[in-house]
Amino acid sequence: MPIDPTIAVLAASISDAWRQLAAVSGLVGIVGGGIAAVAAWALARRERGRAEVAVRQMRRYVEGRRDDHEATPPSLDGEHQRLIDAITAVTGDAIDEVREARQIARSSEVELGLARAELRYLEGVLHAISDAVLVTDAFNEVAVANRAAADALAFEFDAAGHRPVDQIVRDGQLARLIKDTRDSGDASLRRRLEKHLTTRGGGERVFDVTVTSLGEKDREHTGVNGVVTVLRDVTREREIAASKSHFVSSVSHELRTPLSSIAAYVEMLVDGEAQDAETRDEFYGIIQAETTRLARLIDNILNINRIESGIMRAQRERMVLGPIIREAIDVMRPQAEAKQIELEDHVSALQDHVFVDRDMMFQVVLNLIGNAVKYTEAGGTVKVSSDSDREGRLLSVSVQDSGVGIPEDALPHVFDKFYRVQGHQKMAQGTGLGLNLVKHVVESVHDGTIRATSTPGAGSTFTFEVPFADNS
Amino acid sequence: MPRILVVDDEAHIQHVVSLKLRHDGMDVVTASDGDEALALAIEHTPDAIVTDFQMPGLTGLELSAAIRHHEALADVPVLMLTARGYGLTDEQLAEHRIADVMTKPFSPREMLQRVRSLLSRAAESATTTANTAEAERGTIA
Repeated sequence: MPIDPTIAVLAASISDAWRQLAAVSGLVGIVGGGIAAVAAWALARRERGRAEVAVRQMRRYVEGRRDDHEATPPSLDGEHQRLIDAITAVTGDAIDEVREARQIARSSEVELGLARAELRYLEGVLHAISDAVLVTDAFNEVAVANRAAADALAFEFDAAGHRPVDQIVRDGQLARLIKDTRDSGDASLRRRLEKHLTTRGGGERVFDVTVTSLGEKDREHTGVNGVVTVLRDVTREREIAASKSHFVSSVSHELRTPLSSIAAYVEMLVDGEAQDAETRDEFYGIIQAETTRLARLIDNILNINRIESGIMRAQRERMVLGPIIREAIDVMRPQAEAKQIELEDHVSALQDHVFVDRDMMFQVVLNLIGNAVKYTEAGGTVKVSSDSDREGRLLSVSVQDSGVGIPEDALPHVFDKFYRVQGHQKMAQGTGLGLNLVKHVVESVHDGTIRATSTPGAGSTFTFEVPFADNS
Repeated sequence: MPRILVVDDEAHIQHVVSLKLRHDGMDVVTASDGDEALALAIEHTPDAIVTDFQMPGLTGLELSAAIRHHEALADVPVLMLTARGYGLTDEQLAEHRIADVMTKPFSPREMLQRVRSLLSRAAESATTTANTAEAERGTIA
């Protein structure tokens, strides 16, 4: 059916009015379509003039209403009034919907912004956590992970997203545990295990691993939506625990040895096994010596413990080390002479200051000379020397002997607690703590270094270096 | 006079154990490490061995196992002195043929008692073995 051109104009102008209104809203297409249909119905009545008036009024009303929500629709009679009422109703609804849609759009934008900020915040929190965190989704693919997880599990951080868990977690047992937790259907499952893993740096570390199932987002479903795996590096804790337990067992063994002698000789005296005065004196002497040894052992243990736990306060002062070294040499000279060992003094005349605790440094030098004298046979030599390094920043002190030397396999252990070189025990008594104490004093207290070199059968050299004090 | 091999790297312990046994009329041979002990055991064929566990060279356990390779030492009872905390199990002791264990600090008096009882048990079992052997010979004859 051909359409009257005026009606087409009217329809076009109504559509035009709507398009203006629609500039900001997608809804207008539909609404405009509806209005066009209503208009077509009116036009079918061919009441052109009145219709034009009505449309003009309507246009004014619509344009007005865009800004004034409470505007009164134009008052007309009969068919036109019905037409206008219908258009008004549709238009009003459309305007409300557009307004609502705009509001929704605005609040959605705000919500989106907030959600993005929250995500960034959570990512920040996740990366700040030093424990490794790996979150996998319902498909056992990586949803989120932090850099600590990439380091611990040795995967490429940037390429991890949405990769299957068994490609990211190379440890078969752990990957299986994550999948099993996901498949368990139990939203409150938590499993713990200890794992030794080769980390990105290539070193093996011990981790306390917790694998927890993540409940469905929808509360009506109780299935597992994902799995959170947290790995806490407990390597250091384990090392400390092992070293403590080793220390306690070593200490109790070392204390038991002199205690055994004391207890046995006391019982011999009680049982009258020492029949003459000479034997009794011998037993008393042994008991006394072993008691002294026990006391020295306890002192050394406590001193090492104090240094290790930072309780022992060093009283460091600027001083020249030469006189302290000479004093230690003088103290040791009678013992050396008694063994016909030549104690040579090559201490430098350097007057540069070091920043040290006098008593501790004296003890260090005394221990080193004492060891050298102990493990050198009669007729040997012990040389004590000191010098500045090439850059003039460090003072080095060496104690060199012509003694039995230290086997190559024992050399790395000479500074260990309670370590005593096999075969040397018969040469001299020792607690196995002296060199450990020396190392602690030089390295922990004075920021220095100590090393030992040796040629078995030809002698050993112990050298420590401490920084010179600033000239200020 | 029973002959006892005393092994300890601690001179005082070695001394006190030897003295206690000698005062009881025993003949004592001493060694300061596991290797020396094995050589002396082969040389002197002691009736019993009192040894430390932890010492240079062979340990007390290893010494006890090593002497069994020598026919004359196959049944020599070994009393081991040890410090607690090594976690030695009964299986380990049985496997290395350790007859008795004492924990340090120990009483020399009790040590002597235990050595005496090891010697008398060894003597009994030697008599039984001899009697059995004689009985068997009798049967054959």
